[in-house]
Amino acid sequence: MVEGSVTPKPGEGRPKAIGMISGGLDSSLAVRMMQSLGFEVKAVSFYTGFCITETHRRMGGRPRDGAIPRSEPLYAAAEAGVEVELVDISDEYVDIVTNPRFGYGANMNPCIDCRIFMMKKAKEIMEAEGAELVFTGEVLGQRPKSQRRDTLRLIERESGLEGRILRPLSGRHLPPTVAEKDGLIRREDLLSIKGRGRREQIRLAEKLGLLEYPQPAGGCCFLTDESYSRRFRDLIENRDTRRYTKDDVVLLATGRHFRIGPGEKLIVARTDGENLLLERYAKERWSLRALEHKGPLALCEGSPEHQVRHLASRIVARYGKGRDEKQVRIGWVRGEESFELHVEPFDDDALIEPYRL
Amino acid sequence: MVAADDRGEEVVVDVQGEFCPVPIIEMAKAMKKISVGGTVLLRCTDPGAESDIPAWCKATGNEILSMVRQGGLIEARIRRTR
Repeated sequence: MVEGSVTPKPGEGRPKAIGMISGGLDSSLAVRMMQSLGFEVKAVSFYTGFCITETHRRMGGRPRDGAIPRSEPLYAAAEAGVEVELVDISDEYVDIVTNPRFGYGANMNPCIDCRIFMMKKAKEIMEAEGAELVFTGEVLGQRPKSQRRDTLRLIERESGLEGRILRPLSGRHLPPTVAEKDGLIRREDLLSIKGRGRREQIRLAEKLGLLEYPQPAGGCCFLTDESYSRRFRDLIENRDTRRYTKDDVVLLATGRHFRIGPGEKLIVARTDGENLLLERYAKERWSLRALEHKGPLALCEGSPEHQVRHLASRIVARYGKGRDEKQVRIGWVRGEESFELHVEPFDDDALIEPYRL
Repeated sequence: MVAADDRGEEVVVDVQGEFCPVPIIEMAKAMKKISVGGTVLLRCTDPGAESDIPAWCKATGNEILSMVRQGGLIEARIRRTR
């Protein structure tokens, strides 16, 4: 990699490049590389609605330590000194995640469709900004599905960005882009990183003075999380419309979830913070909790008949201080409606497991 | 969510109840609509906004004129500089 080696077109200033940035190590490195090559970089980051940071902030902090997580793309752009644009694609994303043309990854992550969609948006920004290319921090072979050679090519073709997507970290392994063919960049300016290891990236980060970056397990997409995906799959499979709301996205990350009927689901809070959050999201749902014992708040979605109400009440009683009592009084409230049930708490977690999501 | 105040020099973006990255997205949209020198008054309840706003301003070159937290409410006034 040669610093400042980019060759502007005659009569033009520094060429511009649009960088897809997550704030992780690879995309941060790609930004630094492109800056070093002499490009003016504009970073873009997309908001799909499945943002872990957003939900953790909504809950008052991360579950493990209560810390308020920072916005990694914003922080990375600020540290690199590049302009950043956050693009909200959450409304359009509903169709992608519920009906992906190229299927899901290991969980409910429609990574290929997602990348194609984001690249199409990046293309619009590239054209509006008069930029030469779009670049990413993708590394060939790093991810099993979305970063294979054939998939990278597919994403380029489907997004209408053939020859216009530069992956500088793996550039020497990939066909030359238009920028390279036009002489704007040289092959020797690109790197030849591939695979899942991070040793080369860490070495490069030290060289470029990039000292602080999130660990790779971080990520900001709930759809790559196994537990979240299981709940999300259940949700869209049990809705005729296969649609979800912003509230659903938050609730899927909150509490213990139980499928107690085809149209009924129970969410039981695990902490005081989740009790407060469920209170805020009760809205058209039933709220239920033990009336004479300390215990969690729970929400029940759908239109539960007596048998399902009884089942839900027994589960809620299991998680309260009255779990060892013979009978527990559970109060149900929805707007102006309310009623009580006297139930025997489940006395064994194994009896609850078949319902758990 | 967005309203211009009487003076027409400042746009108020009230995104209380919204969390990262929505407050910044809405603020940036409002910033595009005003002239250089104009200000956006952002009202939000996302505690992370206290670090997001300086980061965004650093990245985009805009200027924070003030940022105050009262209880859960954060009010930040940002001037468009370019």
